[in-house]
Amino acid sequence: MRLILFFLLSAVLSCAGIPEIIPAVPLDESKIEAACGSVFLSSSWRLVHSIEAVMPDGSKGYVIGITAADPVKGKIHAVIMSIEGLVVFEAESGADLRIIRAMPPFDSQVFAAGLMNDIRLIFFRPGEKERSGLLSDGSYICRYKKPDGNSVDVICSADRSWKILLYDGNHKLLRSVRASVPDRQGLPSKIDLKAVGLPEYSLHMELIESEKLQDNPSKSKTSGKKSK
Amino acid sequence: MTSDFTQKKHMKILSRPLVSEGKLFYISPKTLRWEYSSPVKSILIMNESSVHRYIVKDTGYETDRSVNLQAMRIVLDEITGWLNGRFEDNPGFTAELEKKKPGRIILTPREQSLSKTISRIVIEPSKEPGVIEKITIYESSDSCTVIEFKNVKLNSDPDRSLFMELK
Repeated sequence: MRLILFFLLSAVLSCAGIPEIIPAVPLDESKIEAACGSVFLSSSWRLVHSIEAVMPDGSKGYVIGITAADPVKGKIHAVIMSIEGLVVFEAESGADLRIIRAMPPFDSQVFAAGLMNDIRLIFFRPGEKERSGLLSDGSYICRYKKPDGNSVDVICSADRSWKILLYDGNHKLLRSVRASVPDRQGLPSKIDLKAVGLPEYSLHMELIESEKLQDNPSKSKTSGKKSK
Repeated sequence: MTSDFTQKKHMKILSRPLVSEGKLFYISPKTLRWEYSSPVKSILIMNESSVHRYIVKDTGYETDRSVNLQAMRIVLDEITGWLNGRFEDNPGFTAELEKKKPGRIILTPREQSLSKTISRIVIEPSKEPGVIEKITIYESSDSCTVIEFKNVKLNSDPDRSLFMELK
């Protein structure tokens, strides 16, 4: 009986997380949409991050991640390598997922798909906005409904830092992404992703290099500016 | 031996190599400290049979428990062999010396399982006897790591405390 009550209580508490949106006045709506839109990439970028990964058992691993992301075509090319330059994972995702290279324990479709989903969550606009407004603390919020029934909240604070929250169809939090204030290139220097549930893990990413890509990926601009 | 090094990672996904820099400290036969100062401050210490990697943070050292440490152990074993001038007596690789100068040494994995990770390694000796100038590790046709050594000091006798586990 106590076990049933425990699970019921857990379910209620985990559903309680989705924030309430206060409608904004029409004049503010365009500002809110612009703020939410600026969180995501609007053109192709190549990004290099140092990544601290905290595993379910609390141990930490450190790698370097390289991501070439094209939000218009929905394509991602991702590489994970050791600090010494040994490539442990490389894959491309677009219409299909193609694993190019994977060493254990990164050699599973589940890992590859999960990685690509996390990259999409952080860098790609989640789809059409369902509604927008304000939170009680004055932050801007945009809520997106995904075809799979999940919801994504994008929350932009007054200091320009932002959060992305992914919920399942029952409003249970699945992922939270927090970013530092964007630098002068328009990209956050630090991003923290937390996966809630099984498996639970967190990623702390620090930007090492960024490069805006032109339509032909072999020609790139090193201006490092993110278009708004 | 002590040395500065520059490491350049070349990959198709990168329009220009990813550059890392650091220092190498080595005591024959199998004691090595591979320290990166940029872009990620980290220290890899090999002391005979043990290998540890640490990340340097503002708050101190964090032990890195990445599983790819096992693969690095294989590479470090090879590197300590090369630093000792042992290229042929190498269970993991066959060694071939190029006849034309400067006489590069080409190492090819013996086992297919290793060749999936590293396709070949090219070692370029320096004009100074006993010194390696450059190592290129080819993972595939479009991915390689080039490590260039400079300010090499032989018989420098680094302090043993550099190779102790960090807390």
